[in-house]
Amino acid sequence: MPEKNSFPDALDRVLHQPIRTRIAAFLAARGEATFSELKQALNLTDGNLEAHMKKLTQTGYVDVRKEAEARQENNRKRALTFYSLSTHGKQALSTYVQALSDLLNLDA
Amino acid sequence: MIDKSNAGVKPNMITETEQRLEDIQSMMHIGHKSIQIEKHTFFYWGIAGGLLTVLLEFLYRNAATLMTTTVYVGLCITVLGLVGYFDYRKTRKIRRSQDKSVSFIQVRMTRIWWLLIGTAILFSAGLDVYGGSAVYSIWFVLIGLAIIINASFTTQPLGYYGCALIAIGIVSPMLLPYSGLKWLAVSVFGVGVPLLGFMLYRKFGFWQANKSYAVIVWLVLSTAPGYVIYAVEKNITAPLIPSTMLSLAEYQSNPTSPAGLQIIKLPVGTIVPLKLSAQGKTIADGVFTQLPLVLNEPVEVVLENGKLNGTYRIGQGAWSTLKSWELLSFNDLYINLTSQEGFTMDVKLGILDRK
Repeated sequence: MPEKNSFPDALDRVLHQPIRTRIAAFLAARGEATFSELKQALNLTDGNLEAHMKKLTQTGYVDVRKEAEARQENNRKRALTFYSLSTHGKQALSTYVQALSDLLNLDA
Repeated sequence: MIDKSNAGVKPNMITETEQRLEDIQSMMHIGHKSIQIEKHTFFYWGIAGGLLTVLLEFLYRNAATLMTTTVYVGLCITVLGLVGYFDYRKTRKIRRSQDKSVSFIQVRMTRIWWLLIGTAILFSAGLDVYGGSAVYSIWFVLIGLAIIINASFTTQPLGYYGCALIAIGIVSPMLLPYSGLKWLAVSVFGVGVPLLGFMLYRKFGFWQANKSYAVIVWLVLSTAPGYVIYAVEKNITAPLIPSTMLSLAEYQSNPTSPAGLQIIKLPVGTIVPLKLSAQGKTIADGVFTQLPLVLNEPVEVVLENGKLNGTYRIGQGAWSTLKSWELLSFNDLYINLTSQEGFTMDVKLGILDRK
């Protein structure tokens, strides 16, 4: 389903979606976060978050790192996934914030 | 200030844009507040700190001769290093088991925590060896540390310069007396720090591409003026050395005081009586007591018109004057009460002389 967008074309279409904007901002400040941490911070369901993370990783804004760790409870190895904003993503977020600021004449 | 009179933007668009910026700010705030010190960390560091203090105190009391500065530093680094390692491992294990990561800020803060512990060990050792003259080194290290902390949150290449300042703080007291350190501090802070600002904001491609060369150039330009002033001052105050030399026995056999300059040589084994003066609320010096110190190295002193003029040298070292502050550290004081000796005090003094 196409996303509703009433904003000027100058704004980044991937980041100009409320949840993805929040994900990018959270990752920019935190550095790296797991799926659970993102879910908790943004208060989203697994499916919803997964869809947005897929979009962000496909555009190269988010890097994914996997690590195998032993879980304490059952001592079984389980792959942990860490998400972080890529250099490209950081640049895109910075440009997006600047575009929003320009829209409101914040720097005037 | 938000300018809502922007003609090209609809009011609902402004509200939405504001909301989006607020969301970004709010999420960044949440992301920044991500430091969480685990429960075990308090236990590990607290218990280790207490035990280390007890251990050091026990060793000082029962094996004082073994407790050199190297042993002290080695013990601190070993114990605290092990605690840090196990704390790091345990924290990671807990985070992984909870499906959590260690945030960027927490990684940086852990690094700062380590730097502070390292600095505390360095200060303890420095004060033990150099006494009060370590004051400039403490300033160098603290300012270096502050610059490294800044470097953790900036893209400016400040970390190299922070490390260089810490290196100056560690190395300089080994190479220079207090009078030299004073000029070094003037030079590094007065010239070096403004120079750093100049270098960081000049768009020299060379400095940007060769950070290590830039640091070396900065080190030389920052320290050289201080060293030059120290060397010039030392040269100006260099004592006038006479050519006539007498042994202590010759001087004592002919105590008449000739005019002019003479060198008196004090050989190894010469007993030098030392009077210690103590002035305190509870204890003060009573009857004059001579403390018979013995020279481990020959010392030459200069007599001018029959009186010491403050010029001396140890062994074959450079001539100096007593104007320069020599280092005396007051390390330990023990009290004891025995039936044979009664109430006694044992004071350990460290004298750091420079040849």
